[in-house]
Amino acid sequence: MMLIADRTSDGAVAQTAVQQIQTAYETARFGGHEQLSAYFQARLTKAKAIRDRLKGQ
Amino acid sequence: MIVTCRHVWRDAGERGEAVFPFLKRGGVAATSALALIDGCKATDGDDPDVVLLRAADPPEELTELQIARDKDYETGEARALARLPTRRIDREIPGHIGSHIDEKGRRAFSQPVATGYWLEKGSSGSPIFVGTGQQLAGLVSMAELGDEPQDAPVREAYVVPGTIIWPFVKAVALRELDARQRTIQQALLQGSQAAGARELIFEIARRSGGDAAATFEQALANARAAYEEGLKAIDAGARGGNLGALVDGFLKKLAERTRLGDFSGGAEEADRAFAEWERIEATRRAAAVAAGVRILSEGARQDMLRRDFRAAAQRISRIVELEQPDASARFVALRGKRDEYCVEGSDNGINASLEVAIELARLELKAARDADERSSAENDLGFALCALGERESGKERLDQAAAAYRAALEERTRERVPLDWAATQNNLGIALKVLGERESGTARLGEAVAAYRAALEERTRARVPLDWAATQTNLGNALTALGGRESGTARLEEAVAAYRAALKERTRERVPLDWATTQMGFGNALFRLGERESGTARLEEAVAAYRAALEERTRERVPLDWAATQSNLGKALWRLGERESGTARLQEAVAAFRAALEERTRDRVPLQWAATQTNLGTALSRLGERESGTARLQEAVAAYREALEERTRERVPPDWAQTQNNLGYALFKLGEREHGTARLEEAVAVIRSALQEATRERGRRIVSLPRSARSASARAGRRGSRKRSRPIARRCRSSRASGLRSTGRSSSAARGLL
Repeated sequence: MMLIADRTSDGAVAQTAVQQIQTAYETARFGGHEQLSAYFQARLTKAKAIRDRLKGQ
Repeated sequence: MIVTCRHVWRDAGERGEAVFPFLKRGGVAATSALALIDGCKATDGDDPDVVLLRAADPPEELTELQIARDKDYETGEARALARLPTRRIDREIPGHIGSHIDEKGRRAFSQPVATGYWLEKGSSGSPIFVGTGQQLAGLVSMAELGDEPQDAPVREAYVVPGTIIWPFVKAVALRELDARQRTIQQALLQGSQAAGARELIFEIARRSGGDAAATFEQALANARAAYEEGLKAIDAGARGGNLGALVDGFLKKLAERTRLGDFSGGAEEADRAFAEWERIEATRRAAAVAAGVRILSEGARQDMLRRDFRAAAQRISRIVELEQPDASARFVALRGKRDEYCVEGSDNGINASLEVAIELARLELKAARDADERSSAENDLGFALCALGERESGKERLDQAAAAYRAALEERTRERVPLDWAATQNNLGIALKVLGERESGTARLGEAVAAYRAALEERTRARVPLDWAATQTNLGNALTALGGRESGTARLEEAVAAYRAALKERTRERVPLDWATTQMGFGNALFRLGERESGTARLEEAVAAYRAALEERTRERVPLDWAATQSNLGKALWRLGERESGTARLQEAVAAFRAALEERTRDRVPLQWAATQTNLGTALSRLGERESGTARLQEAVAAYREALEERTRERVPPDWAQTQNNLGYALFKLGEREHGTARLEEAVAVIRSALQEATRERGRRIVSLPRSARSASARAGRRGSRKRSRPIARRCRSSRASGLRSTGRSSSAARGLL
């Protein structure tokens, strides 16, 4: 979804991607999966950056 | 025959009439003309005072008298039954017969006490009896009467004793017997009208004659009876038996033997004919049984087609009854039949055969007569239920199998039958292990491990090395499954140890296919260890174990086992490929999965085919990530789409969700390399649909770490994935034997990244 948002410059999709990754991140962190939560955290940062970039457009 | 005194016959002018005063004809005493039949001439010395006469027309009611043939029966106290003509009366006159025989062959008969009368003129020929018997002791021959016989106070008489009379009677009897036999022979000759009857008659006469002249009537009756029996035999030969060619032929031969008087030969003919009858009867019986079996078999086939397995089992039980007339051996025969269905069902993948095996085991249970048979039947029932339960989804059959095994263990105790107890513990372990794989948690798997360990207490290496090795292998399988659910590597290390122990007895030279099965399990444990450990050593060992197994598990010999091993090899290579750079391992993995699919066809084993398609897709996807272009990724997408044809959401929801997820990942990777968003949007849609099944609560099963995160996790020695174990290849064994099943892994192992 991040990639779709980036390619289509669709802020709404970017927001959805952020929410989805946020959910995954919280689930992983809640479950104690440190590596997984770290991975999602990194993806979340990137997704937010795309979202913010698209929001600024 | 009538015996009287010679002088009486002479005085009568050698002609006369017998009067029977006690037997009436027309109200008067019966009479009969007399004729001399023997003058009783002595060959040396004086002729005895006796002649033998024949009454021409004697009354039928006459009592025949035996003649004394020993002095004991003609001497001593006696009584004469005398006719006293002057008085016209009969009198019983007591006296004593002396032991001396005078020069005229007579004994003295005297009265110890004087009476007013004694014998008188005309009493000659009166019979005298000794004691109370009716044997003729002799005939009064002459009485010393004195001058006034009627008034003489003392009298003495002389008796012709029975022993003097007897030889003449015997001679006449023999002579007459001979004459009558000739008459009979003549009658037989005329009556039989058959060639050879003459010889028969002579033989009968010879055998029924001999020295039986004293019992002439009996000899005659015997001869007549023999004649009649012989005649029946001859007649039967001429008429046949209306019982077929065998009997007719036999009767003809028998008639011929009878005509020749060869009765021993006739008996031998009977023996030969009966032996032939037995042979024909055995052949007929076999044909009849074969016909009955065929009818029942075809009926059972119809039952199986209409899926009434109980009815099929009942027909098969009837087949056993036909084939095994001995009721005491029927239980074993029924078990043998069930085993046939069980092996057929297990080795050829025919579930209907296992259904029948289950019903046959239930019939075994009904037929069981003692604790041993009951426990065997329970064990058999458990085995068949387990074999089918492993193939089906759900746990019902497996629960029933475990219950049956536990029932068997109640009678099959360790104290009484330790090895049978251990065999059932082993089988129970198998059922519990499969149940454990289908349940969450580790309780059942722990029970399975306990059951195997109990079995090993009696199934020792020294006592039953191959059974011990089988149970060690099964223990390894359960520990591997348990280890897969627990963190750490302790259980998996125990599993590896169990396999290594098993391989000490399960050598390739000794039991090549069992050795290969243990190598397969060994590979599985090493693979799991390798997933949890960093590096590639364990995974390399796993690959080596699988390749060793494939040396015996050839495609020609055991195609499905070969495919299962290829599939597991593919997974180990794929894992290695992930940890190594380059694409060589991943290409080998793809080759292994493709090989597996040559035997794991969709028609044959649809869910296993779909699992292997998924694994292939994942290997291709990973390969596609490392290669440029999109060809591999497109192949991966194609493989996943194939898998989803069988892995439907309705049928296997978790597997469907996982494959959907993997497909989504491959599409994402394709979308990254392609322009536009079509692939990406498809990826989103596919993954969203997966999330409908793989909810947050259930989703951990399919959510896996991205490659980078998984590598980090592996390095830390932590559990990297939660894979569901699934049995792949099984071999059905006799339920009393080890009951070993190998377990492979069909993949839900491969998964993509979110």
